[in-house]
This record gives sequence, structure tokens and C-alpha cells, in this order.
Amino acid sequence: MSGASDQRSSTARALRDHLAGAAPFAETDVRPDGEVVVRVPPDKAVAAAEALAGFQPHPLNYLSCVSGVDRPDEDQIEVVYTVHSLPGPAKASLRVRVDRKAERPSLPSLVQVWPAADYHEREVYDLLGVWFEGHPDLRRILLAETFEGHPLRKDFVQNRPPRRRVTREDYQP
Amino acid sequence: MELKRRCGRGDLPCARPEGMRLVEKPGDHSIPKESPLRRVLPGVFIANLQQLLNWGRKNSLWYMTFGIACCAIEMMATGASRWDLDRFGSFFRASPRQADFMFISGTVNEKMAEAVKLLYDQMAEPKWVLAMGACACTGGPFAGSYNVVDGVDKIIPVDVYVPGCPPRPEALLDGLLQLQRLVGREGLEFVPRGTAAGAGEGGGRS
Repeated sequence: MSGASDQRSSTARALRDHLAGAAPFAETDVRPDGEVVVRVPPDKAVAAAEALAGFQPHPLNYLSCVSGVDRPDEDQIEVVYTVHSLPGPAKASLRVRVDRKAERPSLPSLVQVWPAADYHEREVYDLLGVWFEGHPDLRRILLAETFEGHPLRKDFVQNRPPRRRVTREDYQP
Repeated sequence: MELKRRCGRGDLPCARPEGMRLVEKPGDHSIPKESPLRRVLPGVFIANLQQLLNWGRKNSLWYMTFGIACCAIEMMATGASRWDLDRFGSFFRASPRQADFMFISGTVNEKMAEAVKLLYDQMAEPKWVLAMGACACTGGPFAGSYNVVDGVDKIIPVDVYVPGCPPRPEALLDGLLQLQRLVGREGLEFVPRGTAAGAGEGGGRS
């Protein structure tokens, strides 16, 4: 166990050193389990993602999850890209924040770096209302196209329009 | 070798073992009480045509291969060999054109509602709907949620409601028997469509 743990922490240190050179603007932090937390401003997200994907000898080429976190107390929405390395033990989470009060909160899409981000970013767009600029096909993925609002925002319940109940009349020919 | 032996008239082979004779006993023509057939003479039966149709329909209720959510797992278990819906004459048909009724087996969200309605419209009359589980009956734990239809009876008429989360296969079998009872009364008495069948013997409709 301790051998694997040592390898994880040494990999995390190496990744942090790599980022200090390849993405000096990133604010990095290493968690006890060896995950490197990378916080970047929105306009540097693509550069940071490319730096992560270019890490050698363990390129972070496997995007396992994209989460959206609504933080109404900070007026921000945080998008977390959790990435792993298929060849090795490296793992990282790339965190980008956007102002949730904006009319159209937008972040650069990372589909060009990790193609798996396609559906995940659509889900974040669908449920939290973050527009990903440069996304090839930004549509709602879970809810109907006619749905109004983004239901996983914490204030959705207070702000949503009066809910129109589906009735049998809606489905009469 | 037994089959080779000639018996009766002509040269037809006979599978009857040697020494056995066909004997018509009066009791052999007794028919089940629930059957619409009534024997009036030896070999002659009469029936009400509507009763006969219903009898055929209710014992061959084919349901559509359509599972929505976790209740579908229980529906599949009910259809498989342990509980075996097949012994009631019900089995999966993969096309709405061939199906007599459909289990609504799970949460119907507003995006799925259109597909459910479309499949219902594609089924040929006469057709029935069995709402399976709390979600299909009322929305269940998701009632009032932003994307869930609060009960599938908001979009299509439902004939039998089976509550549970999910219902046990035994409960689903009981729902099917209620539906059979409903189908057996079709056209013979006033059966309002799209309302729930009552539970228990006799149902709540009469």
C-alpha cells in the first residue's frame, strides 16, 4: 500500500512541477489522495487542459467526469473536470469558475482537448445554464428542448415560472 | 410400433393402446364454470358472441415490450419463468401494432411522455393500460418535480393501477388478473374506460 501511495504522491509532485512550467497561471494544490487540483480563470482553461493532457509520462487523457457546482453564496458556478491518466496513476481536477449572475455565463469548451466533454458539457449547460463557447453541438441533453430554466440552480425553485401541469388535454390529437 | 397397428375404420393408424376403447361418459363434457360455453346437446355448445370474444381476448392479453424505469426490471421478472406471465396467455410483443395492452413500468418524465403517448396511439383497439408502481400512478416520490408527469393518467387513459415501489411480481400478477376481469366484462355491462379497476373480488366498476 505504501508503495502505491508513494508513487501517487511522487506523480502528483511531478505533475505540479510540470504545471508550474507549462501553465504558470494555474493555482495548484495537491490533495492527500494524490489528486492535483488546478484552478484557472476561464480564458486560460484551454491552455491548462492542454498542459494536463501533455503531461509526460502520464498524460491526463481520460476525462472521467464533468461536474457543475452552483455556489450561490459566492455568486459563481464552478465547473470541475475530473481527469485521469490511462497509462499511470496521475489524476487531477481542473476547476473553472464563472459568474452565475451573468445573462449568459460562458466558459470555453474543452471538447477539442477531451472529446468526452461533449455530452458532459451539454449536461452542465442543460441543468445549470453554462454556455460552452466552441462546443460543437450545445443542446439540452436530458430535458425537453421546450423546457424553460436550468433546474439544478439553487434558486430555480424560487425563480421558476409557475409550473404548467401536463394534462390530458395536451395530448389530445 | 403401437402406431402401426390398425384400428377403427379404414386404414388410419391409431395411437390408442391395445385394449382401450373410447367411452363417452356424461361427466366428460362438463366445462369450467367461468367458460362462456354452455352445452345444450352432446357435442353442441352455444355462447354469447360478446362473451366468447372477451373470453378469447382476456386469455391472450399480449403486452408491449416497453420498460421505462426500475419497475421494468420487476416486470421482466414477472414475465420470466419464476412468475411466468405466459401461463395467463400474456407475453411480450415487440411492436405496438401487435400489443393489446402496455405496462407503464416506471417514472414518466415530460420528455418521455410524448413517446408513451405515441406508442399508445399506435396500438390497435381494443387496448388497455396498466400503470405499474407509484411513479406511473401518481408521480410517486417525484410528484411535483420539475420534469415528471404526475401519473401517466394525465396523458393516456389507465385501466388498472398497481401501487408499490416497485410492486412485487405477485402484485403485478394480481393487476393482470384485474385487467382480465375487466376485459371479460367489456361490452356486457357499463365499463367506463380509463378509470381504475377496483381491488378485490368483483372489482369496483359494477
